[in-house]
Amino acid sequence: MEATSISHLSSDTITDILLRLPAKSILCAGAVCTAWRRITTNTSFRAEHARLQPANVVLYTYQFSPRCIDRRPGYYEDELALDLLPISSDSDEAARRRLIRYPMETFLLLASCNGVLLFQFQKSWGNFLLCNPAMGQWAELSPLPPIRPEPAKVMIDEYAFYYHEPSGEYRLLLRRLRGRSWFILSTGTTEPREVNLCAWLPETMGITTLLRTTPVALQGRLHWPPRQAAGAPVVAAAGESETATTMVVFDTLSETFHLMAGPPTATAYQTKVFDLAGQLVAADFGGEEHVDLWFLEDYNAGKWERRHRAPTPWHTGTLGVPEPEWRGPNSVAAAGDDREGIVMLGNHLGLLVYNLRTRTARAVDSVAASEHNIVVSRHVFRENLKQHPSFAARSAAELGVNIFWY
Amino acid sequence: MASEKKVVFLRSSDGEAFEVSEEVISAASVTIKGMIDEESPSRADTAATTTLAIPNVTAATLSRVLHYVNKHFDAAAVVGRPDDYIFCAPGDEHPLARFDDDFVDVDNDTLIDLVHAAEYLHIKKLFDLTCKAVADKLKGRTIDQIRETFGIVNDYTVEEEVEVYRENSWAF
Repeated sequence: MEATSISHLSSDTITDILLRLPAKSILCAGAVCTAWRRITTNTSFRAEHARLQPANVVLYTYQFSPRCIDRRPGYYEDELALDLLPISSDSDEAARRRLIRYPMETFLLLASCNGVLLFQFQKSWGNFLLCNPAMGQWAELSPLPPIRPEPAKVMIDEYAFYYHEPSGEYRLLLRRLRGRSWFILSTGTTEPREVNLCAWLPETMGITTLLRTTPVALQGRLHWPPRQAAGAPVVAAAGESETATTMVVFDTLSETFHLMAGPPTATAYQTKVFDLAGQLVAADFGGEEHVDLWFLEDYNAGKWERRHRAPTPWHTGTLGVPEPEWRGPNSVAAAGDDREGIVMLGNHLGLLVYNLRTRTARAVDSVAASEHNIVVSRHVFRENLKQHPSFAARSAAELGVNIFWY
Repeated sequence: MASEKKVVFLRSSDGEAFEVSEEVISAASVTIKGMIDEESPSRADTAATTTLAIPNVTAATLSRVLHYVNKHFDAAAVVGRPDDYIFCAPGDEHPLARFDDDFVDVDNDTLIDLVHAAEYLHIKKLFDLTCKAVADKLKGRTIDQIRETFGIVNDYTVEEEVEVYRENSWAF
């Protein structure tokens, strides 16, 4: 049989084809022949591949061990699987796939950034593990030295996990309760670095920890969801639904906090911010019938505009509408294919994919049913195959955790 | 006069000529738009129809490409935006999604020919679609299956191959 003409395609065209493969298939393709290896291990290929990866919402799938009726700790090993649901208009059951599975008691997923998951190691509080699941690699962040006799569990609050572009490091911004000092841990250094942010008190400026919110990174700045501005009425007067809000911003280059104007909504605390094709968008879950999408039209002027009013994700479900306090920070609000304007909003009680361009919406029914033991996390994950010097492969034995890859 | 739609003829490498609307093919193919623009001054006032030679594409492939182009680039197919959100079932959003799926459901040789043609004619949408279709054929296959399907020769030395396997063993 005559060989097919794939070998006649130019190296550029082969590159275009391989760029459309998911991460794991890229690693396979690199083993096919030396030409494909040259293409797939190239640094700019890896960077371009990372840029093209679709955004996925991370789903927690609980797998309770059927053998163990005794649910006391140590008597069972229930597992948690992280599954990926692509944010795309045709995402369906078939597109969902498993990323990793581990015993529920070992890790706590704190954040996801640039293809890397930040885990808190449950066995030793304050120890962090970074995982790049696409490459099967791990990195550690050195913990803060302990201060005795403070109880271990209340020692630190984590506020942001981000990628620092100039240094190529993954960083974690945290604050120690004792002494109220701020630190930055980073993949590139062995020692935690103290930063002078003492004047900023999270409680008063209205930012919450990674356990509740993931600040949105855009152009080297991290943006927390809006809060009602000081002095503004919490309950707006009848017929007057617009009030001033502010957002806290952390500049990762100058390492300073500042405030910027948020969208003028009376339900700021039920608002979630996300990045759509490089533009900040705030999804306001405050309404019973609609989710308002506010677009930041002019970053420097802090000018927001309400461009979309979409039906709420819970409108179609039969499981009911979540209480107001569960409709904001815990919901997912994220953008998929940038050019198409695909947005996913909701939680496990109701999850919708919207196409802002064609104004269509579709329910993701397979997720919005609690009997499946699925919880929609607020984390968004994109695969990233970029080599990083601090990351290395580790066996499950080295980690002391029963990890399963998919 | 204005109501008459301009057409051009495209002649494949094996000599067959295909008629296509000038407007549609210009919107689709950067290469052909360039050819037409180059031709225009000389045919400004003549009634003669232009025939363009497409030396790199066979009749079989060209007819497929034009089928795609007529589906995707006919201005009449542009859909307006409704005022309120409409709920729909999976796959409803893109009326051409089914067409695209069927279009690339062909044997490997035909598909690679389409990649070639889309690249030569600069039809970005078709290039994206066909590259994605080739990628889908590679996805989830073992290394040996990929070599066999696409007739790729394994040019690794035994030592190199052991090393490559060791590096990414968890992914295979």
